[in-house]
Amino acid sequence: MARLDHLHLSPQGFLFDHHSGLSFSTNSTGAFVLDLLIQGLARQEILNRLVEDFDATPDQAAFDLDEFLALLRQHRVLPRERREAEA
Amino acid sequence: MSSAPRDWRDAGIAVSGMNAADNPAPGVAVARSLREAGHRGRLVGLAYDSMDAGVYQRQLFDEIYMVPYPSRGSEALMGRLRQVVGDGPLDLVLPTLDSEMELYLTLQHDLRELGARTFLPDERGLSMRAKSRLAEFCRVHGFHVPPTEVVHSLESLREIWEEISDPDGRQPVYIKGIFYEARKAWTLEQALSFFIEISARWGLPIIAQRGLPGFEYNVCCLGDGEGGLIGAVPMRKLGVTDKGKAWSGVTVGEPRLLELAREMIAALRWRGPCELEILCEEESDRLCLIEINPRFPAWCYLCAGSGQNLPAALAQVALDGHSGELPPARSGVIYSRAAVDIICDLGVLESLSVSGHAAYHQTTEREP
Repeated sequence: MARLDHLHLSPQGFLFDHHSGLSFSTNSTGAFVLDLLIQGLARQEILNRLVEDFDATPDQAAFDLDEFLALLRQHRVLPRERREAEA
Repeated sequence: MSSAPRDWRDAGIAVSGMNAADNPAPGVAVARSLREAGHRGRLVGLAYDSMDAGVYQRQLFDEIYMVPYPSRGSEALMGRLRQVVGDGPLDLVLPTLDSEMELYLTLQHDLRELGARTFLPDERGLSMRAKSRLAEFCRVHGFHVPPTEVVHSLESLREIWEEISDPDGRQPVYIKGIFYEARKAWTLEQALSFFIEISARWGLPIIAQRGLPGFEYNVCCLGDGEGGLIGAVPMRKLGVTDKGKAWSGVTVGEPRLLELAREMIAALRWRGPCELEILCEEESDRLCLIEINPRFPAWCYLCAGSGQNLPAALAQVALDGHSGELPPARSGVIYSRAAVDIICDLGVLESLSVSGHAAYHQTTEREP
């Protein structure tokens, strides 16, 4: 997976998309996922990290992750190629 | 005629576009950018109305001259510019309004004889990007453009309505004037009414353009006239006024915008500043050109704020022949406009009303 270097994420969970000019705020779990997305990790790798680091079952983590990814697609934070790869 | 200074920052520069209300002209932003880059020469504001707010920016301008409206013709304007030259050094004239461009094109040789340069596009480039010809230009050069029709009568607007309007009725048709103004029409009746209003103000033709779902980028560009792009700063509006004009924005680093700007400037062989209005289509993510404005945008101070001061680069290129390599604009730089009350002595208004000239600071005649 390619790194998403056009996304700037602050430790406080503030996200700025240098391509679209849009900014977002997210909680610490969202920031955790975004940080991994920016590093270029694939969905399954992110899911594994969520299960490892958070007290969540694989099913629950997968459900929450997919919902979050859908939200990022809706706001065009994830680029088109990534959306297709995820689909 | 005075000799040109060795450093552009000592040059006498005149800037037009002093209106600085909620839909401001670019003049104040251009002047601010020049001063921020260290310009210390004579800076003259050319105003059409003594109540234009830029007129009262004494921290920027040394002098203000009232000038005749473009509709008065080139002789009237040239006569006034001769007075500006007679009163002090003038090395560069920087018009900033769409409606002035053709006029200054016809005056550039006369101005040069007085020792004042301009940095304008040629007639061909100016004409190719005209709102009435932009769709054709895009088709020829392979740029995407929303469905667009040029109409000269109410009858032709009726004829093309079905073709130009969104079949689902979700998007409006923009009815645009030849120089300024765009209104959203959702029905043929609205479109006909806007046609009458806008053509009465700005003349014919009228441009009808289908709205597309997506969001807009704006790019401030500076071309060298030989096909090269001197610099470009892309921005996305964050807040708009009720007229849809930018009130706040942020610079962006979308690489496709710079690529498009480079291609566009090359195709037009554009000389001078311009603003590209670009729509990013929601579904396809495709970039569509909506308009090319032949001057700096009113938000051009953001260029200076992002590290790529294009007004200063223009002055440097026009007067020194080069600007050096400009640093890339930083993305993620925010700007916001603010309404500020300016206090000024009645004498300024009196001077502008009586003599059409107000001098804030003493300027000295340069040695011939």
